[in-house]
Amino acid sequence: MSQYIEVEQLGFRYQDGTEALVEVNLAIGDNEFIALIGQNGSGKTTLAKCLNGLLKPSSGRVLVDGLDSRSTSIVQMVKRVGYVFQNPDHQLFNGNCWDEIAYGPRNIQLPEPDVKERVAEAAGVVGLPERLFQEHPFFLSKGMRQRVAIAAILALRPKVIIVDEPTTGQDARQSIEIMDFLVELHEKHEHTVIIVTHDMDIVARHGTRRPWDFAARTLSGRFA
Amino acid sequence: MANAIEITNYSWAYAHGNGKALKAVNLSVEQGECVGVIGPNGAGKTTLAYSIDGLVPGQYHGIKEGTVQIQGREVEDYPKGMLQREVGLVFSDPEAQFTAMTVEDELVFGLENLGLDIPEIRERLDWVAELTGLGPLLQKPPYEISGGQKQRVALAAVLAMRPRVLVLDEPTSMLDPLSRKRVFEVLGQLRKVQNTTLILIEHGLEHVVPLADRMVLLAEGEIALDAPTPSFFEKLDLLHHHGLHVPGAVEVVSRLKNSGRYFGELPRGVEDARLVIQEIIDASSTKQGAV
Ligand SMILES: Nc1ncnc2c1ncn2[C@@H]1O[C@H](COP(=O)(O)OP(=O)(O)OP(=O)(O)O)[C@@H](O)[C@H]1O
Ligand SMILES: Nc1ncnc2c1ncn2[C@@H]1O[C@H](COP(=O)(O)OP(=O)(O)OP(=O)(O)O)[C@@H](O)[C@H]1O
Ligand SMILES: [Mg+2]
Ligand SMILES: [Mg+2]
Repeated sequence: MSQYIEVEQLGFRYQDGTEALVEVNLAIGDNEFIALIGQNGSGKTTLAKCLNGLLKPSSGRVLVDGLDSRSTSIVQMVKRVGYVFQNPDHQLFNGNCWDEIAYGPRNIQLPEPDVKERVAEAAGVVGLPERLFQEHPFFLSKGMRQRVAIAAILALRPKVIIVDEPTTGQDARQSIEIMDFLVELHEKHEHTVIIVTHDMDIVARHGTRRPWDFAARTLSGRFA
Repeated sequence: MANAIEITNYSWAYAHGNGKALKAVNLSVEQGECVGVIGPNGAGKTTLAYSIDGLVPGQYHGIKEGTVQIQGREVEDYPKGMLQREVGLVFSDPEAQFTAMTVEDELVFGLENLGLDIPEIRERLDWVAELTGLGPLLQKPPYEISGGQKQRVALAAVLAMRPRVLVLDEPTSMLDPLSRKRVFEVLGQLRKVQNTTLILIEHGLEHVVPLADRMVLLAEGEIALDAPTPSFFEKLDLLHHHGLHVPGAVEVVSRLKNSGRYFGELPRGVEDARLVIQEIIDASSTKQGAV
């Protein structure tokens, strides 16, 4: 049976010639919780961006829900796989939280009543209180900013959500809250959640699949 | 001789902030000391780092009370650019620190500003590139590398300048575990060899503890606790109250100490803790054996 995401012999080369991914093969099912680990520069962020179509393969292919990322519009891709940036501050650029979360739905040209519904839903899921809707993201705490970034992605209702280093820079309490929240997304809302992390405690606690050592496989030029 | 850092009754309120980000802070740090600073998000750690580096009040509007002296001189009294020779600051967001077009220029920029000669610049460049594994990336733009690689550039650029006071704001948050370990080893060596003063801000306690002589807990802009590292962890309730995650092994021994079953110093790492716990078990089993 085919899986929701299928990565076949994926290679990705940046413009300057850096081979970030070499012959990556991987399948991700419908309701998984996966931790992506590996050394700095091993290609985690690059892979994540390939999975949601921000980057297109240099060789091989990425199939999402049966669609080939190379021939599918970015709009169709981001409705299926959402990617939250490694540093959410680089993702947040709107003047207030509401507009930030509405940006995606507006961008895919949903009618305004639907946009409203999506924003309310996503804000609810991440627990962003209504009194903060008109706040500038910059004035929120780091934990709250991470949530706004996640909400902005959830508003597109993707099946899969990838969060690149969700707990980096978060204090212990926020880290636990964010991880609990991602588990809830997985368990209650049945999203496939993929996190990229260097925190082995988190991997031990949350990965349902044996986390695979990304670096080792990239170095050998081949993924299992 | 003056202390490396002498902060007295210091408060800072950002112009557009909610009240004071730092409140009546007092902190003295001797040359060569390593102080770990921890505290929840928004506690004022970065503001403290900026204050030591002069970015606050230099680059930010706000109201300052009290004094912040580096090597005996108030931060605002340093001629332009001179404070940065004393204090090196590694930003928590590496990109905020970048100014150059290539990684190499990023590393060399500060060295040129110091007026070093070319052989010296070369030597330091080779040293930090080797230290942080940046050799193969020197010709790339600092924006076109991975998150952890960016963080290494930010760190290397400051290390190369060999400032007497080094302030590191979550310098390893994006590093993989091996690289992180390496950075802390290097910091330990810098301290030994060059007597560098280290202010180390981190969320992950387990890395700071082995290096820090002293730990400072910041909470809501105030210093809630400032104590030598071993006794710092005796205050478990206070640490928990502020939501801090104390390394498990240290916590166990701290509890044993608080309940009168251990009297020595608290261990700094898992391995030390294991030895202490083994000792306690051995001691209690010989006691039982004697009964
Ligand atoms: N925009 C870019 N242009 C050229 N090379 C890049 C670019 N972004 C990343 N790279 C390179 O591609 C490789 C993989 O980078 P990637 O960001 O995917 O790593 P990562 O596993 O996410 O690392 P980290 O743990 O540090 O975040 C690295 O060698 C990096 O230097
Ligand atoms: N430029 C600014 N303008 C207004 N308020 C600010 C500014 N920068 C920080 N603050 C506020 O000052 C307080 C302390 O922030 P600071 O960034 O120093 O905390 P921190 O301990 O470094 O937190 P974190 O762990 O999230 O990095 C917070 O309430 C924050 O919202
Ligand atoms: Mg990355
Ligand atoms: Mg900070």
